[in-house]
Amino acid sequence: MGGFGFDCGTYNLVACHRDSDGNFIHKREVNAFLEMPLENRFVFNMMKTAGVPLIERGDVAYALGEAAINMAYTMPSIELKRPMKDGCVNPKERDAFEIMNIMMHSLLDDVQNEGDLLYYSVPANAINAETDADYHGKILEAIFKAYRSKPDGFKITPMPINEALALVYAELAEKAFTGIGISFGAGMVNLCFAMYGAPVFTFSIVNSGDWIDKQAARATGESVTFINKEKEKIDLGQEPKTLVERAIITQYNLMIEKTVGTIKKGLIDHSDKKARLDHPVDIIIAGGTSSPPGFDSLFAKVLKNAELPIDIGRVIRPNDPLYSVARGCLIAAENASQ
Amino acid sequence: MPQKIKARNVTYVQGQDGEVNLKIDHQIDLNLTINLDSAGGIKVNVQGSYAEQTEDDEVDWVVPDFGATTGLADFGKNIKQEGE
Repeated sequence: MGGFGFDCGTYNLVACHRDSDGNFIHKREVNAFLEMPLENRFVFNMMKTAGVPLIERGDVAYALGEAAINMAYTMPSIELKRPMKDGCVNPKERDAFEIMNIMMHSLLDDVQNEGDLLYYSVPANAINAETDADYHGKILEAIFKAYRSKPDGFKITPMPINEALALVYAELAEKAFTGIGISFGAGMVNLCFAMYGAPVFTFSIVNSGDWIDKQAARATGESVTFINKEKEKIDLGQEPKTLVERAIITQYNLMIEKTVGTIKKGLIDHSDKKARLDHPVDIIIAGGTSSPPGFDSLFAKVLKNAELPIDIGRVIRPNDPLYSVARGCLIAAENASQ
Repeated sequence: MPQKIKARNVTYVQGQDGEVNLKIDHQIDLNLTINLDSAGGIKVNVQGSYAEQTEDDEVDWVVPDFGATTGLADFGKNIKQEGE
């Protein structure tokens, strides 16, 4: 067995492989950057000395990943840039391709064999917005095909996999890879109904974590970056104590209600493909937006009231919802390598 | 799409206003211009001439150097989990 998994998310990039003992090794970074004019070399050199991931290009420097988030959080006047939007490459960010290329290659530092298989996550097209998942998939393929390991120059063989199907591979082995995977990313919610590991249908919904940030920022007058950071501390099972907490929890409720409504519509629209099952279907929920404590209970409650056209069993959230998709991608690569 | 073209030496050039140029030569001398408009739409213009193509040719993807990088040796947080 061997290979790699890669979750190319709107907010998080996660690479996954196994070490020699069979343990999963994940590498995660935030899929964001900020642009700084290089007028002041002193500040730039200090950042360099501090080990901040940087690109220097002419009279401009780019800070990458978590460091960019921290700088934008501390200095609200700095605009945080995102290479991806709504689950796909951001068409309005002209440097998105090159910067994602650098960040993604930097997370792949353990390729030790020529042609190692890498499965990377791609979204399905959205049912509530116009998206171009095919184009996005080809951009990611180009990035992975351009990868060369150092110092050997090994290439990887990239293969796309639906991100919600990867979730089923990661978490539903005990259910013979049968069930529904729902990945709550920053840009999209992706859903896959799989039976014995084969996708019966997939679709996605635009408006997830970024939508919560935007709406809560609008409601409170805070910056989106600030809300995004505060969102990491939220507990959806607790009463809000501040205006910001109230706004985030309210928007979470609204997002889950809208999402479940759209999931219901999607299941009805795909009813011609619905497989006959003699038992309730378990649902796996993961992705960064599902990380707050209480998310699974809230989702299960809204789901129960929605009267979906299929019988739902348990709603399961793994302990590490941020890493499940990448792990599922790795499991797909390992199975394809056998 | 570029990946269907069997050729070597793919170069990538960032143009003006979101314009992207992919130049592919060797077996096929071909220029693709992909324009992303403000609404996120894509327009592809292909110009080139067929020279010679063999079955085993593969696209050799290259992304030109975007700039000098630093601080990327430890890029990404490492998380270890027990395998199953």
